Amino acid sequence: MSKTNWILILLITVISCNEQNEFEYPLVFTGDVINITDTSATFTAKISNPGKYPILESGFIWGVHSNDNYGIKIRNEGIPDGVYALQTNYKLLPGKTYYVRAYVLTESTVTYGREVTFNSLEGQVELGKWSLIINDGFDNSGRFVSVESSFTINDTTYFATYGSLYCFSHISNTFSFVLANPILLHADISVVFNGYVYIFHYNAFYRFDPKSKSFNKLSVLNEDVARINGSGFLINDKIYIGLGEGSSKFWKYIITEDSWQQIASFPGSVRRNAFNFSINNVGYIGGGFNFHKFSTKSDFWCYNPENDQWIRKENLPIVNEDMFDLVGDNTENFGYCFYKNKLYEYNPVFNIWGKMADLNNNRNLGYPHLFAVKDKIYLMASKYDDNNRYFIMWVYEK
Amino acid sequence: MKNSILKIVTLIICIYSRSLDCEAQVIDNKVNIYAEYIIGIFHGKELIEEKNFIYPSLYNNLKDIDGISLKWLYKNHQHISLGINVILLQASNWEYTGHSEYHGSKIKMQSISPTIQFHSKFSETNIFNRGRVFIEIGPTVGLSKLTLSNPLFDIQNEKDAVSIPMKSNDIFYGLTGNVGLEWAITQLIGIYITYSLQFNWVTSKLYNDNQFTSSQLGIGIIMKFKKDKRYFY
Repeated sequence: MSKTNWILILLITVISCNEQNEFEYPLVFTGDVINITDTSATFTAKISNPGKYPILESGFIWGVHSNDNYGIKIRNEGIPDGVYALQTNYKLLPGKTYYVRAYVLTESTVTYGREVTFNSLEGQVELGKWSLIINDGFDNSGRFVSVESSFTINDTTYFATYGSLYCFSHISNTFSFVLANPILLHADISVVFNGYVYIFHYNAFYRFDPKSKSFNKLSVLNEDVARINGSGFLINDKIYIGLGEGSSKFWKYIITEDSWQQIASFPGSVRRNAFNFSINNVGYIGGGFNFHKFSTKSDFWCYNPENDQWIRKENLPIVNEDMFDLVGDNTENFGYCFYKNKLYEYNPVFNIWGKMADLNNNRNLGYPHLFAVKDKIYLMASKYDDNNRYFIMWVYEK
Repeated sequence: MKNSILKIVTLIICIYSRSLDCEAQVIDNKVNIYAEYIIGIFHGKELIEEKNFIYPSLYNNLKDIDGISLKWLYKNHQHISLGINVILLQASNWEYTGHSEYHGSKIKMQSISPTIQFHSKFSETNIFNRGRVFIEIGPTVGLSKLTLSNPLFDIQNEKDAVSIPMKSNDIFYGLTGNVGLEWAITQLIGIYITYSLQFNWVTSKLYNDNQFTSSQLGIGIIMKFKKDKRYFY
């Protein structure tokens, strides 16, 4: 056999030893983060193997939590060939550590690359400030003890208390009594839609017309248990309600159809008086307590109607407290909860709670109620002096 | 590695001591077989940069290389030999500050290289009777077998468990150049040392290196066959 033949045989042997690297699923590498400024950064990645299945989506998932599959997504437009780079789609928060992973989605799988971390530059955090707007407001009716829910129409905020409705004018900074009605007993959930107010009472919504001051009962929720101290939020033309004592079921009331539909049950433990709000078509539930077990909750959840899914979010930043006076509400972009002079802001984009300016107050606040009007957060509470009942109100703004 | 070196040195000493009573002059021969122990390092940037994409290199952060080679050469000219070199290497100890992607991973490389050797002319009398200086060059083709110790990817499937790729076999090709010295101890046995420089291209789905360069230092023994005898009657 000639030398050439020997060489050929050896070459063929080496090549045939190669077990073909045919990986079934896409593979993606997360590259280092580049161009980090005080507001943005650029993520890089490379798809090394497209896999056998069509790629539906690719991009990055990032945020302030490690290995968070529900973090912020940045998607490629189209399917990249090999290397791709995308800039952050939200302004970076100062002084935080961020986690980034490239991902590739097929119909059945999602592949994540390694997690890369980077730190944003240090910067000033706007903590906002509190201002006292009403001090020693005299509650001459004696009924203005505990606000169960509130709603705002134009420049007036209405407060549903034990069977009564009060209103507060943001123009004149004055309170007035509106009406009394048994429907307003346990009016834990009230939302405004198309100029009408929808107030839930036991097992049905009542539509309140603020002009005629009339109530109109809507279709009844077919449930054995009357919902008291439940939670709810409005997303588009639907009101989502659930919880309360003894039930983790959740329901969707479609305003435009006056009908009810059951949705995914709340996956956390049963509770009452949980605070709730909705931001950007996602509902949030936090806190609350179990009356029978006398335990308070510090978990925080969101509900996405698009996929009928509950996802646990970052816990409330309050631990080892009784938290019975925990209250919350939201502005357009942020959620807030207040407990014992401390205000916490929830950033739904980054799923993070941040401590804001403390309320400068040395009194014991009774039945605090937090409500938002546009970008301002209001805190109303009652107090007793010499057997007389007063209420007091602050406003928080950034 | 120390054990291997010790064994080779012991072998060389034994062979040399056996040959002390041999004749001073060696006879030229046509076929040499070289067996060598190799240690080496990779050269190059620790980070791969491709457009905006930056990722730690696999090869260039592997700190240890060692292995063996076996070479067969046929002398068909007084200055030139032709042959083939088979090299088996393994690389490990991946380190790069702040990263752990390939920690604990290992690579085994098998390669084959048709080689042309340019060497000093055999002499019947002087130092080149026993000694030889040579330069070799040849194309290389080989297989790089990577075994990861940690998964590089997280593949999630709602229904079934997905096996994460942990191994990759990748063909590389390139050029190899050697310079070396050899010394005949007996008519049959010699020793040699080489310095090699390899440059190879490679592609893989589990790393982002497109090429790698390594230099290696080798020490070994030569077995000499097919004496170039001429009889005068």
